[in-house]
Amino acid sequence: MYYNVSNMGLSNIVIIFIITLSGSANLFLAVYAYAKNPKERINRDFFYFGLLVSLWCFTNVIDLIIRNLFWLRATVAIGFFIPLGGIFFAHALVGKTMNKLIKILLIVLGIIVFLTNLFTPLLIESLISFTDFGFEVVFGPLLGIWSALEISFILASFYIPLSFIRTTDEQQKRRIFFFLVGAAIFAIWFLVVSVALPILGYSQFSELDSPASIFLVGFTGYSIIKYNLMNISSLFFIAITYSAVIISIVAFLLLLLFISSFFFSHLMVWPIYALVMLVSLVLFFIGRLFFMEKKDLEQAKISLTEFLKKSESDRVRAEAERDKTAAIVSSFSDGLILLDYKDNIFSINPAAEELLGLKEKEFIGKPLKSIIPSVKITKARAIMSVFGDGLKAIYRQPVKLADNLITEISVIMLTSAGKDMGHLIILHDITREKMVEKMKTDFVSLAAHQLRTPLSIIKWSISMLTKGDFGKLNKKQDEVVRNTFQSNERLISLVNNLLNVTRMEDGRYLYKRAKADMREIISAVLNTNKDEFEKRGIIIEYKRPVDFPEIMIDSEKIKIVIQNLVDNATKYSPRARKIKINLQKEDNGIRFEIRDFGVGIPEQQQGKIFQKFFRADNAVTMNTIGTGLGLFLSKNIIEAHGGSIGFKSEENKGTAFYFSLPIK
Amino acid sequence: MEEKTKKNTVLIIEDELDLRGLLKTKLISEHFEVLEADNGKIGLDISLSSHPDIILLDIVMPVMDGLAMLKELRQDEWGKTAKVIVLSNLNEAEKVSESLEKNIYNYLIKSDWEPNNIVSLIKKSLGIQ
Repeated sequence: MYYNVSNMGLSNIVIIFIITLSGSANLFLAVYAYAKNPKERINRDFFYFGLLVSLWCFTNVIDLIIRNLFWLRATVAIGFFIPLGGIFFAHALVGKTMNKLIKILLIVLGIIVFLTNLFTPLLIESLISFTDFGFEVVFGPLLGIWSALEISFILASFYIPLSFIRTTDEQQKRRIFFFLVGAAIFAIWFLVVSVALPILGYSQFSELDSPASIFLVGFTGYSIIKYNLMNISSLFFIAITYSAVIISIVAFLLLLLFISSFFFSHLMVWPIYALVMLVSLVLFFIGRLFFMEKKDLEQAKISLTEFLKKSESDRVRAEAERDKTAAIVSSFSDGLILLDYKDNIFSINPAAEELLGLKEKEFIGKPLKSIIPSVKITKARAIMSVFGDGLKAIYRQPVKLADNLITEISVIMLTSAGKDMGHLIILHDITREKMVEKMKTDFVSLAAHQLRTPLSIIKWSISMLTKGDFGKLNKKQDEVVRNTFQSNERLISLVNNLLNVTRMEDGRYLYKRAKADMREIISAVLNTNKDEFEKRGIIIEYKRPVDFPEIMIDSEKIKIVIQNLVDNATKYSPRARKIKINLQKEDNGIRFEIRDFGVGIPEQQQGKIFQKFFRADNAVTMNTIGTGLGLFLSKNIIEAHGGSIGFKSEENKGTAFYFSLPIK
Repeated sequence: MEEKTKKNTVLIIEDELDLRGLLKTKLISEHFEVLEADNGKIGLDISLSSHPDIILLDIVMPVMDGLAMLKELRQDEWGKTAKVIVLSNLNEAEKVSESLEKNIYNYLIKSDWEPNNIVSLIKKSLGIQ
């Protein structure tokens, strides 16, 4: 009995550590695979296989510690089950069922060999001595049979997955490949150190076989992580595996350090060692070539299939999108003409077909101008007026397509990521709105006309009364009648403004420009308001400029502006007595300013002063008559002339309104 | 004395009785001879038969409106050059330009004018003042 723990060298401790690690890793992997999915056959069979490997490793550890014949025999005996287990697992790996009879026969054979090895000297007859990594023994007569069985079982366990590999799918092939590489390194190593060398008489390092099972664990772990072998991959597993691999590599390097001294003293082991490594490498690369070439092709095929699938689904989705867009476009109540980036017609929706009186299919892919000969002359002319010089972005431009058909045409530039995608032309039928608008305007005009007639009668009557046409009035009568006249004047002015606004909004406020003298207009307005100034005791401070340029304006409209400004200045100067008017020439234009010293405009309301119907609070409370239309109208008139209007005001200090007009 | 007998004749074509009456009163006080018509048709007949010195013409009137009357008037040899002042409460720019094209002397908005100013304008147009 060589029971010599105290003499155990450092190399023994390292190898024990590695075998323990390898056994633990195998055990962990086996239990983990089983726990993750106990119902799956491959997981279950892997569990048995791993259990066997770890059992062998642990027996080996005991053997290395106790070092007696029994544990040596036990290690060898259990070791025989590994290729046997390999055959079982190989079937599970490729999903093949084993013949029951063969199964039972193999198990029986295994048990016989195991028992023979363990309890008889037929394989290991007697122990001579233990070495650092093995032992020196006298082999029994069964060595040959045992070796033959061992080799054939190992070959069988590899033959099965390799012969079935063609029928399995690519994903499965890849999973198996790495497991087989690990198994192959383990098997070759085992065959060399525990079968070939002992036959040749070198059993000194046969204990180095079980550490090689770490390769099995390593490659299986890789396959689990990379290709989800046995469907048990998880973050936890990945972490455990990587740590195990790192520890193994470190331990193995340490082991190599010790082995090297041994190898130096046994020079003949070198070529064998090199051969093992070479065979492993060749095996690995051949296998890799065999699998990976297919894999690349397969990968390409899979990629292509997936791409086709994706593009198919993209196409379906795009078609659905297109159909949806087409449905929206075709059911849109506005006429839509879509032009591509070359401004050729891409689509004309039914509403546009109806509005223009043409058929979409005749014009697809043709330039926009191609529709001209097919539409009625009035429509063609209208379209040409808008698109004649090429397309440019326009927004709601009213275009009369026919006598009873008015549309607002908008042209929208379509861009995507700064790239020109074409144009969208929108034809919005506003015939009805225009009709309603016209009715409204006609009504207002008529109403205004009807209002003006009685106002004129009042005006004329009172005017003639004050002029003494119906006899001289006494002072009181004269005063009353004059006041009545002024009130009537205000009413007339209100009606005038209301009419002007209506017409302006209707687009019928035509501007007829002609050369005019601003000085004349101002004088005329001041003259008209003379009575009012007198009545209120207002003094106008106005220095009529000599030598003033004529400007291109619609005098009547500018007169309305000045009248409104004068009127405001007068109305809102309840106490003040002075209104300053200034007319001056500017670069390329003229500037008119009227300044009063009246109530002013409250600061927070200044922003709204040009809004229609807006009247400042202090103006409303003053009980003056006003519609809130004067300034709205004035702003529109000035801006229509290409000028600008503005004001400066301070409450209770006064207001200055000013406008500028260009000479031309 | 001769000037007195040779009074200037003004034809007022106006359907609104009150306005017509007021103008008539004013014109008579200013020594004009006044003819009246309450629609364009009658106005045209009187114009062609009496050849007034000046015609004050309303636009919105029953039977025949002012613009139609003016059109007819301009067909006539005498009517071609007859002096016409349009006196209306319509100031639609289109209407204004339409009648201006027919060579009228002036276009007045009733509510903007007082009778004495109208008379001044008539006198001015006839070269009296």
